[in-house]
Amino acid sequence: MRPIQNISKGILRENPVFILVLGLCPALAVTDSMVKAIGMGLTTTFVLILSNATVSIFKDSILEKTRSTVFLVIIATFVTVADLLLKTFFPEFDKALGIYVPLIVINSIILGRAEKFAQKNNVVSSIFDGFFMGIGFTIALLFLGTIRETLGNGSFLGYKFVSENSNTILFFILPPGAFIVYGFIIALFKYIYKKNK
Amino acid sequence: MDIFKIIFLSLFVNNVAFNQFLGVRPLLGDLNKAGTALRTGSIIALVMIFVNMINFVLENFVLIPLHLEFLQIIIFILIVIHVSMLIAFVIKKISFKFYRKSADFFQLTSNSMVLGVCLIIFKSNFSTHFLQCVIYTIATTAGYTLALILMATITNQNNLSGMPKGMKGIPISLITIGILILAFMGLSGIF
Repeated sequence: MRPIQNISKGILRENPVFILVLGLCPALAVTDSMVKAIGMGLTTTFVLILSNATVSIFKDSILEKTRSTVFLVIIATFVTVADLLLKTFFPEFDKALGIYVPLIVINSIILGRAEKFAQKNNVVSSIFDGFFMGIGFTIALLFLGTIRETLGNGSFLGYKFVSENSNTILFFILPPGAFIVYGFIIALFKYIYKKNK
Repeated sequence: MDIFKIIFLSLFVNNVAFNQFLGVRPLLGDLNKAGTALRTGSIIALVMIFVNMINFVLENFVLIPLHLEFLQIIIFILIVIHVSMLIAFVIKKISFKFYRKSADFFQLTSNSMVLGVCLIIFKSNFSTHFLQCVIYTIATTAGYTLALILMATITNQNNLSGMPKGMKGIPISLITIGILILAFMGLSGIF
């Protein structure tokens, strides 16, 4: 029963990007191509699962006063692991993401999940929670990435479906396009969510 | 001339909030007075100058000579947290009135802008030149403060005007930022 609840919570009801509006920096910065969006989402999922598991294992031995510092050090350790793995196996990909891989440390989804969920629950349900939250985040990034890449670059997953010399709407892969597309999508979700209530 | 170029670029063209997407959350309607925005910006500037000076010394005299660059992320985040806690403590001792007014803003130093600027500095060529590093830090935080003030005043106006219910709050702020960036992009041809 528990995992099924987690699925709908992570992907729809508490979607971190569209409904809680967390993790704005990667949602705006890496969604100009679909491949980058998927990679960023999977890296975040990896860090989220491992940090949730670690926090829930050590939840009784963390002091109240130093709590957030300890959480940030745990997250930073796993981000370093992820960064080194990316640098070794996918060097071009790491170059494309740039400073946004180290910035996963500050991503409020991971810290928020550690404080709200992993601190109070056992290891298995924390891992499930981390997995489905990460998948929800990846789907949201992919959704934004699809809109921006097809309109702005005329390609799908890197394959161009328009001819080489044709003009595309360049606006959508530049910074202003990111903000405006994201703003309209949040407005849409807010409208649907209020109607169902 | 070089210094002037750094300041102009980081104030308008490569504005850290608008073009690098760092620290966007505080821009979206949390602040709605220009004075509050200015105070927040000055606290972030104070924290960042100290953080980047310490980082510069650590990077050039400890991490690179000992080949420990992979520890960069953990060390930067620890320095950011502890410097902001230390500065909050010192301000509390010096002037309690100012501390009470601005206690909430110290949490803002844990946003992605502070760590992001540290990382940008050490991936670019500012990391070998102490003066350039400090000037870049000051100019970047000035640009961020400019963004905060602009958005605070515009949010104040947006709250008064009527609009569809779904658009209220965060969505309209995001769209406003998008239109503002279009205006700033016009300046990119100067250099």
